[in-house]
Amino acid sequence: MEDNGIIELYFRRDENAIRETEQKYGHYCYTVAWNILFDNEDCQECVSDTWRKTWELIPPQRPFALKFFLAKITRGFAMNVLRTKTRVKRGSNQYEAALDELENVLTSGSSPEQNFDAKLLGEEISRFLKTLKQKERNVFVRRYFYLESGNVIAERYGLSESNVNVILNRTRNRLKEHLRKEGWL
Amino acid sequence: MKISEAVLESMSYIDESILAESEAEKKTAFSWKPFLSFAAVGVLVMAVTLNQSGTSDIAPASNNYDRKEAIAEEESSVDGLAPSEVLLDQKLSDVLNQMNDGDLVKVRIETVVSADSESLNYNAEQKNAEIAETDTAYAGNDGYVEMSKAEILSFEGEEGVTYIFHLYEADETE
Repeated sequence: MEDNGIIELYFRRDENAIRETEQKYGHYCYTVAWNILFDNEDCQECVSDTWRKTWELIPPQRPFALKFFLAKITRGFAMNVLRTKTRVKRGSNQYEAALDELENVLTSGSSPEQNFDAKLLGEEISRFLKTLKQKERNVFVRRYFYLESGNVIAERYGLSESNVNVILNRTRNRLKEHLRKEGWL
Repeated sequence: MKISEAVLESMSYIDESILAESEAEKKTAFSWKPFLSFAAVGVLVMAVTLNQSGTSDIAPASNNYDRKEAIAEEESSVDGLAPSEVLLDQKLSDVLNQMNDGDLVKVRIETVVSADSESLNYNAEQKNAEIAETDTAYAGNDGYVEMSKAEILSFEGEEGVTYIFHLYEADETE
């Protein structure tokens, strides 16, 4: 079923909307969660929560693209699960690696921990990403939204892994400058 | 929460249009760039051959600039781009000619930021000096990265930045 048809089911409060969504995007949402959590049970829970949340949000919301609307919800739940876990079990290797990459650039040793409004910061990052070239933007999103590894990203876009690493390195440095300029750092 | 954690978490709130764009399939549009890269290597090898003085020492980076800038002008005049430039030292050029697909070669990469480049966060004094330095983004702690022939020939870097690829030899950094 086309996305518009599925969304119409939600608007009619037809519970087939969830079944259709699961059938079309269940695997995709599971993958989004898996890249972060690396745990089957947690991922299944995140995906179930995604269907429930989607049912709550549509209507009144009408997604621009259902697939990415769902991805954001799933990712949000997966990040919540991570927060409740102990440091011993913090999620996938890619999550840890991505966090280390960002930490090396954005966090100085003496940086105090603060409360950040994730939504506002997300909007700031969106503005930053729109200043980049498409290739740089896409590589950054695949790494830090989907937590894909460098070789997976390289294969997706026909780049070498070293080229992907260079793009990520430079983009992180630019992000740091952007956040500093906008008062986040 | 550290800013790094906040950034990773906040990615859940980026625009859906940005996510949609990242799903696009690999571009298959025709591009002159690979051909230009091969042409650039060809011209470099010819220049090296014609200018050989009988010594096999690696030419100093500064000696490579003229050759590469000429190539840069050719590229710019063809497609209007100001691409990043890639210089290969003589030994690496020779090695590339003999490499097969899948072979790897150890490369040390220097970057040279041109005076008008806004791409990197060098200060004005550094920009004006046209510094050349080993680019740690490409190399491990030991200063080199292994690349295939195809990776070297299709290498794309930052606009306005010249990359000098050296055949890596352990003792050259000592």
